[in-house]
Amino acid sequence: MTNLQRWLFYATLFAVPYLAIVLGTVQTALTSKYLLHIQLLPLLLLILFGIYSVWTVLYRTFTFNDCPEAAKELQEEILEARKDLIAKGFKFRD
Amino acid sequence: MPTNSHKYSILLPTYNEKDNLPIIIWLIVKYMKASGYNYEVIVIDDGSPDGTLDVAKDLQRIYGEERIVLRPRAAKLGLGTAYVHGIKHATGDFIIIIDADLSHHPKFIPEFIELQQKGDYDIVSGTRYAGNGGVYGWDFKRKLISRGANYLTQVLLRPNASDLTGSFRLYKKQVLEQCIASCVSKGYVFQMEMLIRARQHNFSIAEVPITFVDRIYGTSKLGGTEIVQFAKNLLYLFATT
Repeated sequence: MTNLQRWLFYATLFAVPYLAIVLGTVQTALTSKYLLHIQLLPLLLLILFGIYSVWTVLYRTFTFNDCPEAAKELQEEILEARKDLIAKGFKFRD
Repeated sequence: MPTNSHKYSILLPTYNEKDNLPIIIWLIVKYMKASGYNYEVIVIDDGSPDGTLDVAKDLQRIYGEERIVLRPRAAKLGLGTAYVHGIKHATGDFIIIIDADLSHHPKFIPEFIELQQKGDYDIVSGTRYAGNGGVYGWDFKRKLISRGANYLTQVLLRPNASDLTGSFRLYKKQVLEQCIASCVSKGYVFQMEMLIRARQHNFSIAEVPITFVDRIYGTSKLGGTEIVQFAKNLLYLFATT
Protein backbone atom coordinates (compact mmCIF):
# COMPACT_ATOMS: atom_id res chain seq x y z
CA MET A 1 0.00 0.00 0.00
CA THR A 2 1.46 3.37 -0.96
CA ASN A 3 1.30 6.34 1.37
CA LEU A 4 -1.40 7.90 -0.77
CA GLN A 5 -3.53 4.73 -0.62
CA ARG A 6 -3.07 4.57 3.14
CA TRP A 7 -4.30 8.15 3.51
CA LEU A 8 -7.27 7.48 1.24
CA PHE A 9 -8.05 4.33 3.21
CA TYR A 10 -8.22 6.20 6.51
CA ALA A 11 -10.12 9.10 4.91
CA THR A 12 -12.71 6.60 3.67
CA LEU A 13 -12.97 4.99 7.11
CA PHE A 14 -13.84 8.42 8.44
CA ALA A 15 -15.97 9.64 5.55
CA VAL A 16 -18.43 6.73 5.38
CA PRO A 17 -19.93 7.05 8.90
CA TYR A 18 -19.55 10.81 8.75
CA LEU A 19 -21.55 11.20 5.54
CA ALA A 20 -24.11 8.65 6.73
CA ILE A 21 -24.81 10.81 9.76
CA VAL A 22 -24.59 14.23 8.10
CA LEU A 23 -26.76 13.24 5.14
CA GLY A 24 -29.30 11.67 7.49
CA THR A 25 -29.00 8.07 6.35
CA VAL A 26 -28.27 7.12 9.93
CA GLN A 27 -30.39 8.90 12.53
CA THR A 28 -30.30 8.31 16.26
CA ALA A 29 -31.26 10.52 19.19
CA LEU A 30 -27.60 11.08 19.93
CA THR A 31 -26.52 12.02 16.40
CA SER A 32 -29.49 14.36 16.04
CA LYS A 33 -28.67 16.09 19.31
CA TYR A 34 -25.00 16.65 18.38
CA LEU A 35 -25.47 17.07 14.62
CA LEU A 36 -23.81 20.49 14.47
CA HIS A 37 -20.80 19.23 16.41
CA ILE A 38 -20.52 16.24 14.14
CA GLN A 39 -20.83 18.43 11.05
CA LEU A 40 -17.98 20.59 12.28
CA LEU A 41 -15.77 17.64 13.28
CA PRO A 42 -13.60 17.56 10.10
CA LEU A 43 -12.92 21.28 10.45
CA LEU A 44 -11.99 20.83 14.09
CA LEU A 45 -9.65 17.95 13.31
CA LEU A 46 -8.05 19.98 10.52
CA ILE A 47 -7.48 22.93 12.84
CA LEU A 48 -6.01 20.69 15.55
CA PHE A 49 -3.67 19.06 13.05
CA GLY A 50 -2.67 22.50 11.80
CA ILE A 51 -1.90 23.74 15.31
CA TYR A 52 0.07 20.59 16.08
CA SER A 53 2.07 20.97 12.84
CA VAL A 54 2.87 24.65 13.31
CA TRP A 55 3.79 24.09 16.94
CA THR A 56 6.04 21.12 16.09
CA VAL A 57 7.85 22.91 13.26
CA LEU A 58 8.38 26.08 15.30
CA TYR A 59 9.52 24.15 18.36
CA ARG A 60 12.02 22.19 16.28
CA THR A 61 13.20 25.36 14.56
CA PHE A 62 13.88 27.11 17.86
CA THR A 63 15.57 24.05 19.35
CA PHE A 64 17.65 23.36 16.22
CA ASN A 65 21.18 22.93 17.58
CA ASP A 66 23.69 25.60 16.65
CA CYS A 67 27.20 24.28 16.63
CA PRO A 68 29.66 27.16 16.64
CA GLU A 69 32.25 24.89 18.27
CA ALA A 70 32.11 22.59 15.21
CA ALA A 71 32.82 25.57 12.96
CA LYS A 72 35.65 26.71 15.21
CA GLU A 73 37.18 23.24 15.31
CA LEU A 74 36.98 23.05 11.51
CA GLN A 75 38.66 26.44 11.07
CA GLU A 76 41.52 25.33 13.32
CA GLU A 77 41.88 22.05 11.48
CA ILE A 78 41.92 23.87 8.13
CA LEU A 79 44.91 25.88 9.29
CA GLU A 80 46.58 22.74 10.62
CA ALA A 81 45.89 20.92 7.34
CA ARG A 82 47.33 23.73 5.25
CA LYS A 83 50.50 23.80 7.30
CA ASP A 84 50.92 20.03 7.19
CA LEU A 85 50.17 19.78 3.46
CA ILE A 86 52.61 22.55 2.61
CA ALA A 87 55.25 20.72 4.69
CA LYS A 88 54.50 17.59 2.61
CA GLY A 89 55.22 19.58 -0.57
CA PHE A 90 51.66 20.39 -1.62
CA LYS A 91 51.09 23.70 -3.39
CA PHE A 92 47.78 25.46 -2.72
CA ARG A 93 46.38 27.19 -5.80
CA ASP A 94 44.79 30.26 -4.25
CA MET B 1 42.83 0.05 17.56
CA PRO B 2 39.30 -0.89 16.38
CA THR B 3 40.17 -2.59 13.16
CA ASN B 4 38.42 -5.23 11.05
CA SER B 5 38.73 -7.09 7.76
CA HIS B 6 36.46 -4.71 5.85
CA LYS B 7 37.45 -2.01 3.44
CA TYR B 8 35.69 1.31 3.23
CA SER B 9 35.50 3.18 -0.07
CA ILE B 10 34.86 6.86 0.47
CA LEU B 11 33.26 8.49 -2.58
CA LEU B 12 34.01 12.15 -3.12
CA PRO B 13 32.15 13.65 -6.08
CA THR B 14 33.68 17.05 -6.82
CA TYR B 15 32.96 20.03 -8.99
CA ASN B 16 35.10 23.13 -8.53
CA GLU B 17 36.45 22.13 -5.13
CA LYS B 18 40.14 22.96 -5.58
CA ASP B 19 40.28 24.73 -2.21
CA ASN B 20 38.25 22.22 -0.21
CA LEU B 21 39.62 18.99 -1.70
CA PRO B 22 43.06 19.09 -0.03
CA ILE B 23 41.46 19.85 3.34
CA ILE B 24 38.76 17.18 3.17
CA ILE B 25 41.30 14.56 2.10
CA TRP B 26 43.69 15.60 4.84
CA LEU B 27 40.86 15.25 7.37
CA ILE B 28 39.79 11.86 6.01
CA VAL B 29 43.36 10.58 6.21
CA LYS B 30 43.76 11.96 9.72
CA TYR B 31 40.68 10.30 11.16
CA MET B 32 40.83 7.05 9.19
CA LYS B 33 44.46 6.58 10.10
CA ALA B 34 43.66 7.13 13.78
CA SER B 35 40.77 4.65 13.65
CA GLY B 36 42.79 1.93 11.92
CA TYR B 37 40.17 0.89 9.33
CA ASN B 38 41.24 0.04 5.80
CA TYR B 39 39.98 2.61 3.31
CA GLU B 40 40.35 4.32 -0.03
CA VAL B 41 39.15 7.70 -1.24
CA ILE B 42 37.66 7.77 -4.72
CA VAL B 43 37.61 11.25 -6.21
CA ILE B 44 35.04 11.60 -8.98
CA ASP B 45 35.66 14.95 -10.57
CA ASP B 46 33.22 16.08 -13.23
CA GLY B 47 35.62 18.09 -15.39
CA SER B 48 35.92 21.05 -12.99
CA PRO B 49 37.24 24.10 -14.83
CA ASP B 50 39.07 25.26 -11.67
CA GLY B 51 41.62 22.44 -11.82
CA THR B 52 40.27 20.25 -9.03
CA LEU B 53 41.66 17.21 -10.84
CA ASP B 54 45.20 18.61 -10.79
CA VAL B 55 44.84 19.21 -7.06
CA ALA B 56 43.67 15.61 -6.68
CA LYS B 57 46.71 14.37 -8.63
CA ASP B 58 49.04 16.29 -6.30
CA LEU B 59 47.29 14.76 -3.31
CA GLN B 60 47.60 11.32 -4.85
CA ARG B 61 51.35 11.82 -5.09
CA ILE B 62 51.46 12.66 -1.38
CA TYR B 63 49.14 9.95 -0.04
CA GLY B 64 49.65 7.20 -2.62
CA GLU B 65 47.57 5.55 -5.33
CA GLU B 66 46.30 2.96 -2.85
CA ARG B 67 44.56 5.61 -0.78
CA ILE B 68 43.59 8.23 -3.33
CA VAL B 69 41.93 6.85 -6.43
CA LEU B 70 41.06 9.21 -9.29
CA ARG B 71 38.07 8.38 -11.43
CA PRO B 72 37.27 11.62 -13.28
CA ARG B 73 34.48 12.09 -15.77
CA ALA B 74 34.44 14.43 -18.74
CA ALA B 75 31.43 16.51 -17.80
CA LYS B 76 29.00 17.30 -15.03
CA LEU B 77 26.68 14.30 -15.14
CA GLY B 78 24.87 14.40 -11.82
CA LEU B 79 25.20 12.89 -8.37
CA GLY B 80 23.45 9.56 -8.92
CA THR B 81 25.63 8.60 -11.87
CA ALA B 82 28.72 9.84 -9.98
CA TYR B 83 27.98 7.27 -7.27
CA VAL B 84 27.39 4.53 -9.84
CA HIS B 85 30.68 5.46 -11.46
CA GLY B 86 32.44 5.45 -8.10
CA ILE B 87 30.96 2.11 -7.00
CA LYS B 88 32.15 0.50 -10.22
CA HIS B 89 35.72 1.30 -9.26
CA ALA B 90 35.38 0.77 -5.51
CA THR B 91 37.34 -2.10 -4.03
CA GLY B 92 35.74 -1.82 -0.58
CA ASP B 93 32.70 -3.73 0.66
CA PHE B 94 31.30 -0.60 2.30
CA ILE B 95 30.73 2.75 0.62
CA ILE B 96 30.77 6.07 2.40
CA ILE B 97 29.42 9.14 0.69
CA ILE B 98 30.39 12.56 1.92
CA ASP B 99 30.26 16.08 0.49
CA ALA B 100 33.61 17.56 -0.46
CA ASP B 101 32.64 21.11 0.57
CA LEU B 102 33.62 20.58 4.24
CA SER B 103 30.04 20.72 5.48
CA HIS B 104 30.48 17.10 6.60
CA HIS B 105 33.32 16.38 8.99
CA PRO B 106 35.24 13.11 8.40
CA LYS B 107 35.67 12.69 12.17
CA PHE B 108 32.19 11.10 12.15
CA ILE B 109 33.18 8.31 9.75
CA PRO B 110 34.64 6.05 12.49
CA GLU B 111 31.40 6.56 14.45
CA PHE B 112 29.40 5.44 11.39
CA ILE B 113 31.55 2.34 11.09
CA GLU B 114 31.29 1.43 14.79
CA LEU B 115 27.51 1.79 14.77
CA GLN B 116 27.22 -0.23 11.55
CA GLN B 117 29.17 -3.08 13.10
CA LYS B 118 27.19 -3.01 16.33
CA GLY B 119 23.89 -3.83 14.62
CA ASP B 120 25.02 -5.05 11.19
CA TYR B 121 22.99 -2.21 9.69
CA ASP B 122 22.60 -1.87 5.92
CA ILE B 123 22.83 1.91 6.07
CA VAL B 124 24.14 4.40 8.61
CA SER B 125 22.96 7.92 7.95
CA GLY B 126 24.21 11.17 9.46
CA THR B 127 21.47 13.26 10.99
CA ARG B 128 21.38 16.97 11.80
CA TYR B 129 18.01 16.64 13.46
CA ALA B 130 18.60 14.23 16.34
CA GLY B 131 20.75 13.96 19.43
CA ASN B 132 23.75 16.26 19.43
CA GLY B 133 23.43 16.86 15.71
CA GLY B 134 23.06 20.37 14.43
CA VAL B 135 24.04 23.02 11.95
CA TYR B 136 26.27 26.04 11.77
CA GLY B 137 25.68 29.09 9.62
CA TRP B 138 21.93 28.84 9.17
CA ASP B 139 19.63 31.76 9.92
CA PHE B 140 16.10 31.44 11.26
CA LYS B 141 14.53 31.30 7.80
CA ARG B 142 16.81 28.53 6.62
CA LYS B 143 16.15 26.52 9.77
CA LEU B 144 12.41 27.04 9.44
CA ILE B 145 12.38 25.87 5.80
CA SER B 146 14.53 22.89 6.70
CA ARG B 147 12.37 21.88 9.66
CA GLY B 148 9.16 22.49 7.72
CA ALA B 149 10.29 20.39 4.79
CA ASN B 150 11.50 17.69 7.14
CA TYR B 151 8.20 17.61 9.05
CA LEU B 152 6.21 17.38 5.83
CA THR B 153 8.39 14.53 4.67
CA GLN B 154 7.96 12.68 7.95
CA VAL B 155 4.18 13.04 7.81
CA LEU B 156 3.77 12.09 4.16
CA LEU B 157 6.43 9.44 3.65
CA ARG B 158 6.98 7.87 7.10
CA PRO B 159 10.67 7.24 6.51
CA ASN B 160 12.57 5.40 9.21
CA ALA B 161 15.21 8.10 9.40
CA SER B 162 15.16 11.65 10.72
CA ASP B 163 17.38 13.32 8.12
CA LEU B 164 16.45 12.56 4.54
CA THR B 165 18.13 15.36 2.65
CA GLY B 166 21.52 14.88 4.24
CA SER B 167 24.12 13.14 2.14
CA PHE B 168 26.64 11.87 4.66
CA ARG B 169 26.06 8.14 4.80
CA LEU B 170 27.58 4.69 4.94
CA TYR B 171 26.09 1.89 2.84
CA LYS B 172 26.83 -1.76 2.32
CA LYS B 173 28.03 -1.81 -1.26
CA GLN B 174 25.23 -3.93 -2.73
CA VAL B 175 22.65 -2.00 -0.71
CA LEU B 176 23.78 1.25 -2.27
CA GLU B 177 23.69 -0.33 -5.73
CA GLN B 178 20.12 -1.53 -5.18
CA CYS B 179 18.96 1.84 -3.82
CA ILE B 180 20.46 3.78 -6.71
CA ALA B 181 18.98 1.36 -9.24
CA SER B 182 15.47 2.00 -7.91
CA CYS B 183 15.80 5.80 -7.75
CA VAL B 184 14.19 7.99 -10.38
CA SER B 185 14.91 11.54 -9.14
CA LYS B 186 17.90 13.73 -9.87
CA GLY B 187 19.63 16.52 -7.99
CA TYR B 188 19.61 16.91 -4.25
CA VAL B 189 16.20 15.26 -3.72
CA PHE B 190 17.94 12.10 -4.85
CA GLN B 191 19.27 11.74 -1.29
CA MET B 192 15.74 11.72 0.07
CA GLU B 193 14.58 9.10 -2.40
CA MET B 194 17.53 6.86 -1.52
CA LEU B 195 16.29 6.39 2.05
CA ILE B 196 12.68 5.93 0.93
CA ARG B 197 13.78 3.21 -1.49
CA ALA B 198 15.83 1.70 1.33
CA ARG B 199 12.68 1.41 3.43
CA GLN B 200 10.87 -0.23 0.50
CA HIS B 201 13.64 -2.81 0.26
CA ASN B 202 13.44 -3.32 4.05
CA PHE B 203 17.04 -2.28 4.57
CA SER B 204 17.93 -1.40 8.15
CA ILE B 205 18.95 2.19 8.83
CA ALA B 206 20.80 3.55 11.86
CA GLU B 207 21.65 7.19 12.52
CA VAL B 208 24.60 9.11 13.86
CA PRO B 209 24.08 12.73 14.94
CA ILE B 210 26.38 14.98 12.93
CA THR B 211 27.22 18.66 12.89
CA PHE B 212 26.76 20.35 9.55
CA VAL B 213 28.90 23.42 8.92
CA ASP B 214 27.40 25.25 5.97
CA ARG B 215 29.90 26.49 3.43
CA ILE B 216 31.08 29.90 4.43
CA TYR B 217 31.81 30.82 0.82
CA GLY B 218 29.42 30.29 -2.05
CA THR B 219 25.66 30.52 -2.11
CA SER B 220 23.07 28.50 -0.28
CA LYS B 221 21.68 25.80 -2.51
CA LEU B 222 18.11 26.18 -1.31
CA GLY B 223 16.45 28.45 -3.90
CA GLY B 224 12.98 28.56 -5.42
CA THR B 225 13.68 25.88 -8.00
CA GLU B 226 14.98 23.52 -5.31
CA ILE B 227 11.81 23.96 -3.29
CA VAL B 228 9.60 23.25 -6.31
CA GLN B 229 11.73 20.23 -7.17
CA PHE B 230 11.50 19.05 -3.56
CA ALA B 231 7.70 19.41 -3.49
CA LYS B 232 7.28 17.57 -6.79
CA ASN B 233 9.42 14.68 -5.64
CA LEU B 234 7.73 14.56 -2.27
CA LEU B 235 4.33 14.20 -3.92
CA TYR B 236 5.66 11.69 -6.41
CA LEU B 237 7.06 9.51 -3.63
CA PHE B 238 3.89 10.00 -1.58
CA ALA B 239 1.77 8.64 -4.42
CA THR B 240 4.08 5.80 -5.44
CA THR B 241 5.71 4.42 -2.29
